[in-house]
Amino acid sequence: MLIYLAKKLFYLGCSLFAIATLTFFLMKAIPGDPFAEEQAMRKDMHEALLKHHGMDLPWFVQYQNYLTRLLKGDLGHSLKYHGKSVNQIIASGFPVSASLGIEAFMIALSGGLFLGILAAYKKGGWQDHLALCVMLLGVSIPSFIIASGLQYLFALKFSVFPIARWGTLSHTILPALSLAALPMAFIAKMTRASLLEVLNTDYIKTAKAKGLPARTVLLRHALPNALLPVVSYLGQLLAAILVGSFVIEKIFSIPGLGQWLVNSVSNRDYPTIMGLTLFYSVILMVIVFLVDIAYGFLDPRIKVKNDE
Amino acid sequence: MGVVILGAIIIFMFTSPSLSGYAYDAIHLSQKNEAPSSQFWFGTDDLGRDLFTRVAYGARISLLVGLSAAFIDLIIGLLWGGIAGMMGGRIDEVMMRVADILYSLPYMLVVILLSVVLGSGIISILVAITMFGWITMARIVRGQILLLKEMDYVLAAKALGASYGRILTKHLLPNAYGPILVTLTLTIPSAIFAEAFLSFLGLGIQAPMASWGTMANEGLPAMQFYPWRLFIPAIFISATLLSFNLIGEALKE
Repeated sequence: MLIYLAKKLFYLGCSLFAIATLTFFLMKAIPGDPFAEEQAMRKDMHEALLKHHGMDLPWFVQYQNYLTRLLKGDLGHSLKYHGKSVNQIIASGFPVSASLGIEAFMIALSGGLFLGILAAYKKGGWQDHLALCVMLLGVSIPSFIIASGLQYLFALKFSVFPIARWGTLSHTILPALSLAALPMAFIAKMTRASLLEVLNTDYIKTAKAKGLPARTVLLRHALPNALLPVVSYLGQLLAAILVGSFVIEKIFSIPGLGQWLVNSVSNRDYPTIMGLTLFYSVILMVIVFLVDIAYGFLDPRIKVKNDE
Repeated sequence: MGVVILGAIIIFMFTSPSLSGYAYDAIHLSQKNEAPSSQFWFGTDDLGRDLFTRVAYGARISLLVGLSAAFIDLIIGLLWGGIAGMMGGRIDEVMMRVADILYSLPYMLVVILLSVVLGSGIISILVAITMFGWITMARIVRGQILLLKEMDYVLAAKALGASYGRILTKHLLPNAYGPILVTLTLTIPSAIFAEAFLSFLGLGIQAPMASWGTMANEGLPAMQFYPWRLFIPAIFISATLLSFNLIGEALKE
């Protein structure tokens, strides 16, 4: 188990280093420097600015400085919002995004499991067909289209929910639903497929032969094993919610991190783009790492395989 | 079903510019934001451009991006996965570790980052999408090759003195084409989605050309009064993705 953990930790370190390096060199690859756009800047001012940001140094010194800064947890300063550091931006935006993300996660998980179990339980019935329909649509329709559709229907036409902004619970419902649609469809699809597979195994037949009611067999015997592939999908689910939040927060004008990222992309605010990308990547990779570990605990077979 | 929807979109794409009689960038300032009518079948946008024609041109961009990205992914994936699978041992280990680490990077974030750096335009979008998009394909190819490599007929070919390259191209790849085809079909919609997503964020195709994502992005602020500007391209994106997903699912079975 320890070897397994150490191995995973090592790869996590490699991935984090890769993304830090990638962002650094991508930003270096942009021709010119961030201040080149500002017209009518005197040459000495320009040079002073470069010097202030340490951009007059050779690239490997810059790279070194950048990595040591990162290790201290300092993500740099925004170029467009003067006096705001990327850390402050994260502190203000992340709680909003996180609460929206958690709400969407809950909806996706409960809705997806419900649909998947129902579809497997009533295989071939109308419930199954309905669930398959929802799964297919959820996978195919991009979240930004679902979001604008929901906004148009429930906020503009019927005024059931507020159209945008942030604050109360009712503000969160439409964005959370649009974020949840894709992962929900995926979870439903996986739950159905793996339940149907498990239902064909011998131990289920034994349970049925003992005369247990179908519902008990499904929920007590089949479900725990069928959920394993779903657990391994949780990391990707989070990624889907994160990426979805960029556009959803834009559509609903939610002051979260995704909105900041989109704005800094259109403002070409490079340090902010870099810092937020790194922050997102770290969160994602660490959670995928934790899911992997949890998976190892849940399914002893994996641990054995990896220790060999 | 999927083929039917896709076929309809392709026919629409080729015939509609001549049917409508407008150019995709022809501006009619006196007829801004018009609702769908007999004159403009899908209405017009804020510069009075005919949406029917623009949606058809958007289809070309979306399908072009989807197909070429899938093709590029296929080539790189075949090479990378094929070589790793054939060589085995150290080389395989190193190549797949590299792929694993790249795969663990958050895909869409890296694509956004790349397109910020590369600027807008079809080529940069393609580069951004495919730079890390080939990994799934490489994994599938490698898995198939490892599976097939153990077969007796491969051993026979080896015994007869066939070279690695010949075994790979003549014996392994033709037999692995099923799962590869499925992956390929599912790569197309994810590339189309990535393009629409980037364009929706304002990072994609620039005026006067328009992809569906760009049009949806431009239509978003006008949703309250001119909803067709948002929903017509939106319906086309969804229908295209749906059709590719349907085809992929059907192929899987």
